[in-house]
Amino acid sequence: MVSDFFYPNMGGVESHIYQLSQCLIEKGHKVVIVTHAYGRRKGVRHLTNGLKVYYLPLQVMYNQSTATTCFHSLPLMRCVFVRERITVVHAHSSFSAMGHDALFHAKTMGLNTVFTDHSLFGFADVSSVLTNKLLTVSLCDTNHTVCVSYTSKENTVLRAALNPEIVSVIPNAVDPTDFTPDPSQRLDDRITIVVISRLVYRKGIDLLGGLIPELCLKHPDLHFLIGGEGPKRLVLEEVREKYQLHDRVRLLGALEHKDVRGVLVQGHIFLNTSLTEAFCMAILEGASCGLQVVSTRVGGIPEVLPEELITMCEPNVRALCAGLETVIARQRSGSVPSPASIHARVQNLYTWRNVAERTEKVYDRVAGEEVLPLDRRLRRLRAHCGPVAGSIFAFVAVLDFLFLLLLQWWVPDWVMDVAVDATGPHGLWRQVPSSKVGAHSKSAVK
Amino acid sequence: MGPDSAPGPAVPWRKVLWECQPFPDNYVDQRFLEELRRNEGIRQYRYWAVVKEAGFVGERLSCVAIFITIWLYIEEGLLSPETLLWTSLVCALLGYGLHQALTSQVESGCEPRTRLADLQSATIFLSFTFGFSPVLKTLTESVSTDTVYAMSAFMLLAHLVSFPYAHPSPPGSFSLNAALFASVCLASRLPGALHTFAMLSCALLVFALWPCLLQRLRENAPSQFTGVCVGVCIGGVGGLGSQWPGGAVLLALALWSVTLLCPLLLVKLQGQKDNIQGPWDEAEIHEDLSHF
Amino acid sequence: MVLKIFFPQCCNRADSGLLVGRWISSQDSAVVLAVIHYPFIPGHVKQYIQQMQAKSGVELSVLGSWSLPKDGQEGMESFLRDLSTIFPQERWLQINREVGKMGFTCQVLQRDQNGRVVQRETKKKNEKVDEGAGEAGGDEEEQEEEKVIFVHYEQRKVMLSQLHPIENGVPDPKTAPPSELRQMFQTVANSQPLFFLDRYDDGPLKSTHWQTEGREASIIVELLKQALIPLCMLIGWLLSVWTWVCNIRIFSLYPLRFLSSKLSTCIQLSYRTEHMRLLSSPKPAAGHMQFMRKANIVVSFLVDVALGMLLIWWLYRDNHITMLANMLVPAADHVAKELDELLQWLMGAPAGLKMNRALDQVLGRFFLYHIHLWISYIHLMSPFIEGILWYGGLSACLGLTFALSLLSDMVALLTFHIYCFYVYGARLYCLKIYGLSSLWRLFRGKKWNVLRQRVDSCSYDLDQLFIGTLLFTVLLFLLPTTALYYLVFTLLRLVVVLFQGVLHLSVDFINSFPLFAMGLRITKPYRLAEGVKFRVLCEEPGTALHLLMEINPLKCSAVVQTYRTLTYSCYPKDSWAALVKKLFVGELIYPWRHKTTKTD
Repeated sequence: MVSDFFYPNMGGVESHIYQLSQCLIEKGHKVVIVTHAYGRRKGVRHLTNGLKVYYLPLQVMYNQSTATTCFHSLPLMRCVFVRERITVVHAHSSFSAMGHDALFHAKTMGLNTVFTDHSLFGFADVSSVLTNKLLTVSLCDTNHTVCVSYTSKENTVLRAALNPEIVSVIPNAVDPTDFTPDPSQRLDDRITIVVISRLVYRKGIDLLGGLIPELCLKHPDLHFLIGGEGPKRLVLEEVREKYQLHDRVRLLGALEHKDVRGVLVQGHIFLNTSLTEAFCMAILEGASCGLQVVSTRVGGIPEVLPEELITMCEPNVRALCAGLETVIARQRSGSVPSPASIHARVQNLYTWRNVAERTEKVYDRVAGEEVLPLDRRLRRLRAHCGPVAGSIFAFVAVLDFLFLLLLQWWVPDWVMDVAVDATGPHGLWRQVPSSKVGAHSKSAVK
Repeated sequence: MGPDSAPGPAVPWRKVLWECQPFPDNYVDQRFLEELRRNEGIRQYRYWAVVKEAGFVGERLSCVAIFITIWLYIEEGLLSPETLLWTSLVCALLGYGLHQALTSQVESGCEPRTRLADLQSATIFLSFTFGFSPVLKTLTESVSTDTVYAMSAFMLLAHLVSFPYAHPSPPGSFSLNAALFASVCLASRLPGALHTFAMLSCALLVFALWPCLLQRLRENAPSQFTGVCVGVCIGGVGGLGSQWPGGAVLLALALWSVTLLCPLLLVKLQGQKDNIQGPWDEAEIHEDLSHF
Repeated sequence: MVLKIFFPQCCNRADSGLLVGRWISSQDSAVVLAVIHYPFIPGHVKQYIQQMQAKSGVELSVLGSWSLPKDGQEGMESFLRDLSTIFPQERWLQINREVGKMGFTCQVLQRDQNGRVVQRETKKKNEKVDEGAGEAGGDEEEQEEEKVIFVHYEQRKVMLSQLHPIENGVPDPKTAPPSELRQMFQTVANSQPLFFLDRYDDGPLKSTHWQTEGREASIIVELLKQALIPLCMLIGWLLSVWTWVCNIRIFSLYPLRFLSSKLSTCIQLSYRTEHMRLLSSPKPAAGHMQFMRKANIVVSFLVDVALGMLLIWWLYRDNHITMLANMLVPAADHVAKELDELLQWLMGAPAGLKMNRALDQVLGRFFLYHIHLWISYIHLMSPFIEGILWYGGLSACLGLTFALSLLSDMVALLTFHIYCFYVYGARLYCLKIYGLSSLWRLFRGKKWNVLRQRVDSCSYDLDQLFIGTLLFTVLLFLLPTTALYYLVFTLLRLVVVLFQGVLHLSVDFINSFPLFAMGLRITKPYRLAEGVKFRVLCEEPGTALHLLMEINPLKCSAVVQTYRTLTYSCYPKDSWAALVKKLFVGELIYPWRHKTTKTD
């Protein structure tokens, strides 16, 4: 698995990669994660169950994403791919330059590739036009793409001009044991609304700032508990100062993943005001903790939870206020299902094991496919990505191939040490005796 | 489950994730992309409405031209500073009266400025400008004329570019400051302290007060507003033409392209628009949340 | 396990006897300190060892036996083995040396719980020893049989040397136990009383170990020590008088205190007082570091005074003082004249720059008037300059550092006008930069939010905008003029600061350079040890491995680093980037020494 985003960074992509890798290891696959060095964390690390992580010394450019020149990461990537005897390269997140690099190099080296897209993009402005073009190039000869929701699939198919047949939808999951309800933590003399998200524009913090005073004026027993950090924190602070709501709106700042549950169980209602969302894990966590979920109807959110568990509103202050009002009224009248029943309903909807099974099927399918030789790859690039971008990237692909030849001449593959398998069919990590070593003798690099 | 498993039974596919549906993961239903919409909410512009809006830009352009014309006149000695001062005073008083009249018509609720505050502001303007004009006069003495002209031109351009055409009522600070800077530069090249003073008062009138009045006019009397814009444009071209015919031709060309050609292009190119929208789009916040 | 035996070189040829030393149990090694010869009475030996243990605080014990067979001494083997029952030990070493052979053989007798003696033949194997690994040696722990390595050391050098901690040590020195080598060095150094037993004394015991050869010289040293006591008392009394004088109320008044904190002579005086106080304290130096510190101070003080005397000799020989005094006034005059010309140049159109004429004239006149004042002040002073110099020169008898500090102060006083210009220019410039930066924010419609420490957007009133822009324009066009004056005077100031800085650095160098430690390092390198290195002495297949331990002297840079006397130069300084930034923003800069006091 290759992505710029991995622990110690925290977020949806990071936990997705980690959980998926763990489940694949459990199923007897060899999994190696490749990411860039975070500060002093560089080199090779082993995580739980022998999950091997390469922190490559690549320069970070912006927002934890590495700078890319299409070439300079080839020697390192090749080294990892050859040493670990990789058969499938799986890149994550379209924001990760490293992931795209890995896809490109893997194709040059004749490996099969899979890509998982975690985000949605528009089509309207210049920057999205450019990113979409790059995605088209990057996914042009990727064997299979995974999206986290049907909306995300539609979006990716349109953006990268893909055949929808090679795009699978595999949702994210939540570990239900981490998010169990605990109604005793709630205070009965008030209704608490919990918001947990990064405080950025895309998460609709402006909407939140608009609805807080309106609702607080109407309901004197309403409290807000807001976890997360970001540039829009200022908006909330200003609202709090202006309406003197310091005792009713608490800003908790950045939360660690392990503290999230402790905050969630204190609330009655979970509010999500995102303006765009491919698959919202936050509402799943909120529902898993037994909270009433109120969310905006954007992106893939309508697909995530059945209607009885979520109240969806249009993304504007008035609709959100109205939605919250009905939920508050229901909460007051006591006509809401108990947290335990909500948890019971949610806990089996999404599991990482299911995700791993479905991903495994994708790998099975991909592993059987042939990798396009260089000439057909070039033709495909030209045909698929338009004459200008196609030609440019065909040229880049040729250069990459020549560079690979040079490297293979410089340090031939057979000279390289083969790494000891920590996980997989011949894995030497024996702390937990792996029970199931199936017929899958392939290894996957994610 | 999984790509390419056996095709499922005839249960209708649903676009939900929480159900285990008997379809492969890469199943493509005929409802795929049914929520895709093209060019939704596109605005169909009418040519003359756009021209009317663009007229305001032309008006700003002409205002700058008028200011330059006045400066040219003063520098050539064709206009005495006393005349300019008196004219400015009369214009200011007339404008103030008009402004008051337009304000009382609508009776806008938000904190009306008292007469006293207006008087105070006027006193500050006049006293500071008068006090500083000898200093200002010597300010650019040693700087070469070309530099001063270049700086002024650049600043006036910055004023035009950064002018908040949508909400001009309190003129945007950067555009106003740029214009004032340019006028101080130009005024400091004039021969006497009184000239400088008169020029600065005039700049204040043209760049700071006139947009306020015009905005009122636009809100309350749209038809007169169009007339005023046309008048200012004609005045600008005519005024510049009396001193610098080449400049006038250029200005006329610019006005023509801004007010007539650009709207035409906009309306024509609108037909070429092809925008894809769908549920993946980032929701837009339409409300003005800045008051919270 | 490998057993390491540290063996003194002087005992190589000692007669057979008992080995006295110490077990360093945690590291599995033994330090042999001395050999007690036959004949002896075991009771005496025990008593003697207890005595020595009480004196030195080292856990001494009998390690084993030493035999160097000579003619007519046979049947020693069994006798020596029997000795182990007399001196009960967990392990008993039996070291043999055969005549004509280089190496020793060693047998280790283990005593198990029952008190039976179990003999274990030590296998002598050739083994590779990493010579560089000074404190390593326990790597071969997996091997079953016990091996013995002899490490020969020179007792005198080890006793006198001071082992320095390694700088790049990864383990925390507080938590990690002292290493084997350090323990060994301590053991040898602490068991000095053991070595006072003279070979030629008629006592119940005779032993071999290192012996001092110069008893007589040490008597002189003792006498000198006695003589120094009244001297110290005298210095102490003088110091108390001096401190009393210093503490008189009048000196703690604000202007005087401020002045004295700025004058480098006063600061030098206070340093010296501090040093003298340290030296004259009646308590003996506690620990190696303090001893070295005192010695360094004494040596550098003596060198300082000697250099000062040299200076006095030169100054007063051919009436150099008068010459200097006669040169000084014209020089100051000359500087003033040059400045005058510089200002005239600035008031014109310097380097073709376009200055604001009015402001230029105002500033120029102001500074010219200043120079005029200065010249009259110098001329007023000129009759007294020779006297001042003559008496000032006398201060060199307190040391060269005093003379240099005085020189620095005089330079500071003589260039006071430059300082004034600089301060005016900097203040003006600073004000302008500050005003411009805040008005530039106004120009863009922003403001600095003090509470949030960031730039906020803000809607200004029309009149605020107007006046702000007016002031901004004025300041912007006047900035080049001010900046030029600031630049010129800053350069002048930098020259003075550089000169003063050089003086201060040299004073500081004399004050803090560890001359004594450096001398020790050069003459007796073993006294300051950084570590040890091992050399293979003989590696015969039949015998144990013999290593010679040599002392690695401390590097000269490390000597300076460790032993320099703390002065102001050891305090953290501004970086060059910070200095440049200060210059750019127009903050005042001062010579290096005043930094800590003047920043507040």
